[in-house]
Amino acid sequence: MNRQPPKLFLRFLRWFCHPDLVDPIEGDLIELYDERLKASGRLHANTKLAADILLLLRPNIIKTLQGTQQLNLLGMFNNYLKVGFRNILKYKSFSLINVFGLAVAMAVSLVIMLMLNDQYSYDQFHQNRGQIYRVLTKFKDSSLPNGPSPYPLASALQQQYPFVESATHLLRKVGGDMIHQQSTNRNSTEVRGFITDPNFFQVFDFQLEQGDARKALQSPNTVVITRAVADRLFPEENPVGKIVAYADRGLELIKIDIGNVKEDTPQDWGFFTITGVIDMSQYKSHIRFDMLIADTTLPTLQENGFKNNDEENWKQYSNVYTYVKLMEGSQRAKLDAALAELTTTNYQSTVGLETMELLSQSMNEIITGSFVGAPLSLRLPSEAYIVLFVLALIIMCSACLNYTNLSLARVLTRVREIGVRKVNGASRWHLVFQFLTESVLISLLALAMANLLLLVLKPTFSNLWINEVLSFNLSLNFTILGIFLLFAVLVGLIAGLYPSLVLSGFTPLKALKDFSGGKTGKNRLRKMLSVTQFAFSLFFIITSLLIGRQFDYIMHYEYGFNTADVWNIPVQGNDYRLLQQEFSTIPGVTGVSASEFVPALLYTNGASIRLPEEDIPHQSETLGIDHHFISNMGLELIAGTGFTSADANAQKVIVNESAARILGFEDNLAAVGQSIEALRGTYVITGIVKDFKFQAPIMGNGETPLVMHYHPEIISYLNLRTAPSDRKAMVNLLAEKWESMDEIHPFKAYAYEDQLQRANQMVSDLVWVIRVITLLSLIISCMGLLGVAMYTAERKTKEVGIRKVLGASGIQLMKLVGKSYAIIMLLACLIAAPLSYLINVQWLESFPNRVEFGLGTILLGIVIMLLLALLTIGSQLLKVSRKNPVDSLRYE
Amino acid sequence: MKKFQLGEFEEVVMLTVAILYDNAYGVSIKKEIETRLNRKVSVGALQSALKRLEDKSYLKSHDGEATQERAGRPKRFFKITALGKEAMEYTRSTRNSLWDAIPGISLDVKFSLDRII
Repeated sequence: MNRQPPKLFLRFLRWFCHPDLVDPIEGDLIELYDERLKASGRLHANTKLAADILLLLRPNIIKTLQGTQQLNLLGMFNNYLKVGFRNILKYKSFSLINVFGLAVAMAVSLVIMLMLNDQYSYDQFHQNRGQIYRVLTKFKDSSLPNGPSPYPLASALQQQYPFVESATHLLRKVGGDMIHQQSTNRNSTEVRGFITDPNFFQVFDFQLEQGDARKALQSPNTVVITRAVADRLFPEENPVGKIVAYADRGLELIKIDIGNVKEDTPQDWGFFTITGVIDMSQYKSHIRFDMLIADTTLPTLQENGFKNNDEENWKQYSNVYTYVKLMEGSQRAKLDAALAELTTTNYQSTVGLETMELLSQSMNEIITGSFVGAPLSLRLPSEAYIVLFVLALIIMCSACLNYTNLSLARVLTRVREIGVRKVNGASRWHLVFQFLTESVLISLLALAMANLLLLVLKPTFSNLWINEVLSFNLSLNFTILGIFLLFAVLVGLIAGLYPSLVLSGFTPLKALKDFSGGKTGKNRLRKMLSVTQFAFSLFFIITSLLIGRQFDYIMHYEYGFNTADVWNIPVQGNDYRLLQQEFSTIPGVTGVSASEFVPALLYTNGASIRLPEEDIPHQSETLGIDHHFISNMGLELIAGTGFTSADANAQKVIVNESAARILGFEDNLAAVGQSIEALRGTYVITGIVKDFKFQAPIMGNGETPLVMHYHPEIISYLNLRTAPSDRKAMVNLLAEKWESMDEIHPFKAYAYEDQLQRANQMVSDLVWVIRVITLLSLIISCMGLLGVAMYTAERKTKEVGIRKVLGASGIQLMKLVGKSYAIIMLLACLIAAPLSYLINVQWLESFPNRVEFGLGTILLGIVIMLLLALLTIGSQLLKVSRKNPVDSLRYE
Repeated sequence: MKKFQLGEFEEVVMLTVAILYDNAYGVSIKKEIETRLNRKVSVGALQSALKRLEDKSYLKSHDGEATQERAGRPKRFFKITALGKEAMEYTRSTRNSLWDAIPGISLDVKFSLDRII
């Protein structure tokens, strides 16, 4: 029998063990092995031996690095660092190009990382977030799912499926004014939130700061408010148990306050007892609210006609959000199966809803996932991150290509060093390690610079309007700094990998003796890299030119009615006629009209219209107005008459030309006096207006049918036309008047021109982002080109000198040096021009109002790029051709 | 400040080395502890403790002769140094003084509690 312990184990021991200790320890192990072998067999002895050896891996038993080993590793590393630093300092321009390029690209990547980091920090406070799901609805033929789900879903899931621990539903469009009537100043505040059930606190981990979460939402007319609301209503009192009055205005949860949203007239919902206070500032969640009203209040609200009873109504699928928490260990597949079952029972035979689907979405996917319709809060959808990520990747690649390109171009300067190192015994991997050390060094320098850039970039980014809505928190912490560092090292490794493999591959003989340089194979690769870079740049230039033009077009859009010197004032639940009367007495006010919402901003209201004898309705938009609107806004009435004050609530409408056309009237005059089916019954057309742009430019071109009607109860805006005057003074006058009539609501007025600009802000931010990225990409590619040009110029000094002595002219010399660049540019144009056309046409077509995109824009882009390239290379070309041959040939 | 640094396991090893006197080397120490104290001792833990004690000069070692059954590897024998003896005595006396300082009643309660549980 072989009594030897496995050789491999002992070899491993000898490898790591301190040499002073190894012999006796090995002896001990062999002795023990023998005993165990005899006692309980080979397998047992082997495993015990392995365990013993592994347990010997202790700091004071493992050998230390010493002697030659230690010296060599550390020493060589020191040497690499030193040589690296010297190289950076020696070739300052190259280093600057590399560091700056990488830094710019990194700064952009860092911003995106910070954004992602912020996104992933949402909803992390729910202990069982893996068990929480939201249910979405989707029609099979539509591309986007919607956030809300059928009203009875939560209770159906809770009652019929035992694996559902609890389900809650949040009824949306609940928002209005909360008033503390006992307080001395009648403190009031605007609140938005949900009607929900007590399960809310079981599904989510929101904790009540005051009050009992189990009982808080049980009895009718109870409400939970947030700390912020409590501080406004009860500045120095304990809010729990207090009673507040609440009037609902059906406010949406997401407030984008550009003064365009239609508001409902306030409904007095009565008195509510505050049963809990929640400190929302502690929670970073996609669910944001100011208050939660107990759903046991609903029966009273239904009695008063404020809300419909939808408890059994599966057709109401757009008013509540449903969240489900599954039992521990339950699989998502179970929930999906249950949802499929519920879909079949409730929708398969419902006309119009056959294609309804219920989908589950896990809590973790809500913030970071793709866009859903009617979201709870606005987030950048994952698609946007993919776009941003691709853009950052392109810039990053461009910067890395610069590094690769320049390192390859500089082969000659390093070749002697490589040769000497190899002769002295360096292996190829030592050299690879050396070059990687250098590239990581450069990349770390770039990281330092990128952080400086970030300091500049961050405030600019935070000032974007988008950020106002999405509220990114781009603060740094140690984790993210660690990630940055890793990222920088990774970038260094990637950028340095190819050059290090190439440079280390030279044989010493060739390297030291007759390295003639300029091998064509290497050059071809370098040229390809340059072509790629410039193709990207050209693509960006053309795209940003096009976006810029499109944006200018939208910003200077002709709306077809007079928006100058108009103030839009939300009536905030007051009687608009009273306000109208009062405001028209102010000097300088030339006209006051009223409307349901402000046209040409992002809000529109759809309806269908048809002739009484037709079966299929036409899609149309509607707008409620008063009898002053047409004249006050400067709309052109081309047939019939406008409304008069007697027409309030009359079954009369004014339509636009497009509506008349789509309804099939021969001409505009023929349409006047005809009846159509629209809104609430049959209406008579009293007038036709010329088409005007009542839609925001990104939504439509105004040639959509529009029906204007006169129902005073839906009016929620006043449109005040003033003589050209000082804005501030006018606002003060208006505010004074407002305060004399409404004590509760703070005065709001929006200048129409500003509103239009704000509505298009999203586009302007996009333009800004694209422009910055274009600029960066251009800078990086041009710097890369400059680097290569500088180097080539240096290399060709002697050749040019000789040619000059033999009689070549300046132009000929420029041709000689510039030819290769011309080819690069030509190839880049050939690739990028058609590509940019094809891609840009895609998004441009989604705009209803767009500019022409033809050869002109592309040519302009090409010219810009060529000019930039010429500027970059030109200086070097001139330098070469001007150089005195006496200087360049002096040492030959 | 503590005069002598001696951990619990280190103390056990020291005592065992003393017990074994002339025959204290890796395997014998390990076995002695395992039989006397009924606890498992890994070679790693023991060797590491021995190394620490030797570094503190509480133990000194010499290699024995290479023998056939250990495949020619020597045994490393350990002996307690004068400093090591002092450290052991110090530990013992501090412990004793602490024991002496305990008022009898406190332990009575403890023991009776133990019995109840």
